[in-house]
Parts: sequence; structure tokens; C-alpha cells
Amino acid sequence: MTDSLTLFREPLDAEPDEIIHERRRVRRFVRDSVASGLMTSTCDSWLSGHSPEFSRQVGRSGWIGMTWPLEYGGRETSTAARFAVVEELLAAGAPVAAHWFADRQIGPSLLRHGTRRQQAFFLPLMARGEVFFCIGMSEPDSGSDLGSVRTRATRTATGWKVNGSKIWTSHAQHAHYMLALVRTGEPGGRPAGSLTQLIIEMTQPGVTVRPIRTLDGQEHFCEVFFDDVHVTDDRVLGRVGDGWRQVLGELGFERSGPERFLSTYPLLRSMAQNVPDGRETEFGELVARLAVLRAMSGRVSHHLDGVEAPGVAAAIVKDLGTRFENESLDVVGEWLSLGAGTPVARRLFAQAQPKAPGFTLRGGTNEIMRDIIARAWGLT
Amino acid sequence: MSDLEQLLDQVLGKEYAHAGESVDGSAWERLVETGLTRVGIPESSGGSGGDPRDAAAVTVRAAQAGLGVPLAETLFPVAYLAAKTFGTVPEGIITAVGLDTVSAVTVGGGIRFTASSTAVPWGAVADELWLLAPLGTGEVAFTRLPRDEWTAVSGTNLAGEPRDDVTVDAFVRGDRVVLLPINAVEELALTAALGRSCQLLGALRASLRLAAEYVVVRHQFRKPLAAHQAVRHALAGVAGEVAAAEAAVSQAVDYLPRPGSPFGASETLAIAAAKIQTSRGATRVARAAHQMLGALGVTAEHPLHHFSTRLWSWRDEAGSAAHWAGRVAELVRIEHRGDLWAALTSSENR
Repeated sequence: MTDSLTLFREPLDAEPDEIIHERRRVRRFVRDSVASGLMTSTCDSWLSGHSPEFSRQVGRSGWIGMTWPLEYGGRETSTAARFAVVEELLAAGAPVAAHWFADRQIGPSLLRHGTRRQQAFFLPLMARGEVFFCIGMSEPDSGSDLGSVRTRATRTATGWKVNGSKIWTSHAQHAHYMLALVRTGEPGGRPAGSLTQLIIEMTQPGVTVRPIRTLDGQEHFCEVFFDDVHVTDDRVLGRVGDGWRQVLGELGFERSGPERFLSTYPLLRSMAQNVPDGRETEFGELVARLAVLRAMSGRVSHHLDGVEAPGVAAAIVKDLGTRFENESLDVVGEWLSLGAGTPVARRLFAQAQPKAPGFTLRGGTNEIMRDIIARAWGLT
Repeated sequence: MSDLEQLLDQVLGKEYAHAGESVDGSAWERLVETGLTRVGIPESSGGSGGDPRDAAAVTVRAAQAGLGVPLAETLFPVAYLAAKTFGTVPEGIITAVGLDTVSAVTVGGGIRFTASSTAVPWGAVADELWLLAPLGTGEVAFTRLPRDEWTAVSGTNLAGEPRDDVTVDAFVRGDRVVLLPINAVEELALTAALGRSCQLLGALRASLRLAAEYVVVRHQFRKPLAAHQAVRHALAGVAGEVAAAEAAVSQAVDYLPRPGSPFGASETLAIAAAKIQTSRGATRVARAAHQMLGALGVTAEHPLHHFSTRLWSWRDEAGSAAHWAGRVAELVRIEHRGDLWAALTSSENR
């Protein structure tokens, strides 16, 4: 029962030279991109910072789908190399949202469950930063209770007919495709066996996208409606009825990455030379916690290639990491209220604060995470 | 499971069979017999061989079993000083002191050490006291005192472990003194902090286990405590603290320099982060575990107090979270000139 924690005990090798080199290459790229106006550093950039042009440049530099096979546009690097590149981009507050889902989970899902034809078609386009995916999971009546999705796909002579709607789909208005979780089994039936993942082209007839304005003034969340949308059989990901199992496998990727504790990092970095007198220990504690979260996330990422997704460990990283994001905001906000900081820091704070409620909601609420964790100790 | 873990299972027995035992107990006797009290120290230095990971494993597991024994002291600060001075660790209980409260003055043919240190771990019962004292010349003087060269007044921490006030006023001949660079003082403090972090991790693990076992068997309102979401979430919070402590300690042990090599900024950050994480976790886990165990947890009969009293004590020893947080802030400001990301990732270049 304590096995869920043993992966955190494992030693982690020092980064080899090629990864250190890759970090330096990303840092140069970021410096050049800021200088040329291609990017501005923001908090929460992995979800809010959508820039197709930036993503194309990232793809051209070989940083999307790094671990994927060469024949599909990848570089067959280690997960540790990808981890390093991703956290460099996040720490810099770079706008990576356009390709984020493709790189983090759609690509790995295609590699696990996709057909060779699907892999050969989608992966190279995704790796070049030319095709972007959104993820269709939540629905108006299915938030944390994802297994209750009702968007329905019914059999036709040539494939599937989809009806229903998705909500809180980030950047659906800019995405070329959606990986959607839909119901192919009985309405109201148990999720295992009843759900299927479909790749839906966003420009096809019957798909309507309506952006939702949120309290930060942005419109990255969308509502997506499906009205007799036709999906051919070759766009089923994995097996019909296996959607629930496949989605659960993705969640390990979704919950343990550095985006779960670096959303406010650009703000903290902007204060590193402006910590008010007498507040040094607060700063030191935040730094120490970041060091520990990096150690935890790195150890989980090491296991994402494995046969079994480290779901409980990922839930722990998500819970601790997102609470850290909120606390770092609280601490830095107080420093700013005392008159410390620069205009850049004040801009980042004003930008990050309205996004804070999302930290502990997205990717599965922290309450759901805590139920998952407790279950590993036999508490139900 | 490794051979070492198997041996530890045999020596420490089932779960809390030896909880609360000290150096007069049978578990300690077996640890000494099997050489586990000298793991991670080279055989040429009087040790049993093995690496820092082995030393950490033994320290964590002894704390997890609820033992109150002088293990962290020997396997971390004393082992460090032995490597630094090419010394040999003798049998018995050895403790080390290297604080500002110790001073050394050169006098004809040797050095006069004076010390007035409070709450020295095992200070009254140790067989040898290893002292590190600044000379004021940019160097520190190291010496080993036999038991008749210091006096001590016994005291205890909240867990009843010896924390004794030590007074030294001793002239030591030059051939019994080794001069070390000044940074040995901080390195000694770091190794002590790592030893305590390992112990804290062990006590955190045990507290999680005790709480998890209790809330599934204890029934109220005709259902187990675990049926309440508030209780499940409290347990999940404890599990998160233990997970963070596992990664923090593992990382710090990974970054421990090879014996005799200096500690860089990344090693300092990793060890400080481990002590901060385990110390903060100690407060939260002790509170949550006691809350989950109700009145039973505060009794002398239930093993929880062996762990909660140690969590509170070790948390405040070898540098508190606040102490090390100040050091981390200084490290970012000075060693890394305010470049926070460089501070966080420099460890990758170890």
C-alpha cells in the first residue's frame, strides 16, 4: 500500500551533457524570442499563452515530440531531456499553449493506442508545430465526474455520428482537431466499456465553437457543440469501448508535469532580487519547496514510459504543486503590497491572480486528487 | 528489496516492536553487532563500507522503527569529519560539535579549546567528542576529546533523547589537532541537517502508517473514520508530506559530495531543502496524525508518541526550517547573484 511512494525514493541520475546543452539552447532561444518580440514572459503561459507562430518556431527547433520516433518527426530523446526543455520554457513564461496538449498527451496517446496510419499522419504535423489539438473531456454535466460524459457517438454505415457538447475546452477556437471522449455504449452505463476516444476535425460541418469569457478577461475556454458530426472509423483512437482506460492512462502525464508548480514562477523569479527586508526566510522556503517539487516531478516523469501510469504519485504532485502556486502568489502579493517589486512584477501579479482559482481545479480538482491518494492506503 | 533492506527487516523486527528503545535495547545491540551503526564509512576508517545511500537507509529505518539512538550523529557529521581528517571512527558513541560556541586559541605547542554548548546530542554519554572550532585565521581546528576532557550536564529533548550541555576547557597538543578550511563549519552543519532529515523521514513514514491503519478500523457513527471525506483528505495530506520528504531526502543524498570533496551551492540547496521540507512536514504530520488518532494517540501505550515527540524535537534540531530558509535565500542572492533559475538548475550540472 505504501508502494505509491517508493518511486519518490529513487535516485535520479545527474543530467548528461547533452541535456545541459539543450537547456542552454532553450535559454538562448527564449532570449532571442523576447528580443524579437516573438514572446513576452507571462504566468500560466502553458494554458493562457497561445501563439501559433511561437509554437512553429519551437517545433522547428526540435522541441515538440522530442521523445517520439525519428520516423514520426521526433528525436527519440529521453523523457529527462523533454522534462528539461519543458521546464525551461515554462520557467521562462513562454507561450506554449498552442502545442501543449499535442506534446504532453495527444502524441503519447497516439503512440500507445493509435494505428500506424494515424501516427504517420498526425505525429509529424504535431512535431512541426503546424497542427494543434484540444482535449474534449468535460461536459456541462460532467466535470470531476468525467465517467458520466453524455456526448454520444452512434454507429453509421461508414463510421460514427456525434451529438452533444463539451465545455471548458482550452483553445478549441484555434485547434485543428479535438481528441474527444464520447459515449459509444449505453447512456448512463458504467464508464468502463462504454466510452471511446475520437479524433474530430474542428472545421467539419456540425462543429460549433463558442468561446467563454472568464474573469481574467480572456477567452481561452470554449464550449463546443456537435450536431450530427460524422467521424470516420479511421479516426477512432484505440479500441471502441476502451476510452475510459485510455484516458486514465493519460492522466499521469497530465498531473505530474512541471506545469503543476511553475504557473506562477515568472512572478517569483521577478522578485528574486527584490525580496523585502525581513522576508528572506519566506523566499528561501518557496525556493526550497520548488527544489523539492522539481525532484518529485522528475522522479514521476521517469516512470511515464513504464507499463503502469503512476497515477497516485501524479495526484500527489498535482495537489502539492498547485497549492504551492497559490501560496507563492499569496506571499509575493504581500511583498508587493509592502511596496517591494518592479513594474514587471506588478504586471505579472495582476495577470496571475485572476488565474489562481483554476490552479486547483484544472486537471482534476485537488479534492479528487486527495480521494485518489487516500484510496491507495485503503481508505474508501 | 536490497540485501540491506532485508538485513534491516531482520534487525529492527516487525513494525514498532522496538519503538522507544535506546542504546540499552536489543535492537541497538543487533545494529552494532551487524556493523550497521558504521555503514557508509569506509572499512579503512573503521566503518563497514557502503555509500551515503546505505547510511541514509539505516538512519531512516531506525527512526521509522521508533528507536532513539546515536546513529544520525555517527553516520553523517562524524563520518564527514573522519573523511575530512583521514581519521578512524572508534567503537562506542561519538558525537560532534562545531558551533560558534566553540573557540580555539593557539598557545605554545598546541591549541586551547573552550566550548560551552547547549543541547549537544549524546553529549554526556558519548565516548568521544569531536570538536570543530574557528581559529580566527581563516581556518578551523579539529580535535577529538576522550571522555575525561569535557564535562556535561544531562538534559533531554521532547522525545527523551540525551541533549546535554557540554563544557570544554582543554589544552590539546598540536599532534592531536587537524587544521581544516573554514567552510568545514557549514559542511558539518549540513551533514548534521541531512542526518536529522533522514530521521524525520523515518518518523513521518511511521506516523502515516499508524494513522492509515487506525482510520480504517476505528468505527464511529456505525462506519469507519475513513468513510468521512474530511478524514480521507487529512490522510492524503499526510501522504503528500511523506512523498515530498522522500524525494527531498533522496535528492539530498544523491547530491552529497564524495568523502573529502567540498560542498557546492547545489549540494547546500539540496540538503537545506530536505531539512526545510522534513521539518515543515513534521509539524503538519504530527498535528494531523494526532487529530486522526484522537485521544488514543496521546497515551503512553500507543506508539504514536514515540514519533510525534521526535518529529517536534528533530524539526528544531540541526537548524530549523527558518534557519535553512535564510541560508537558501542568501545562497540565491550571493552564490547565484539573484538568478533563481540558475540556483534551482545548477544541481543538474553536478
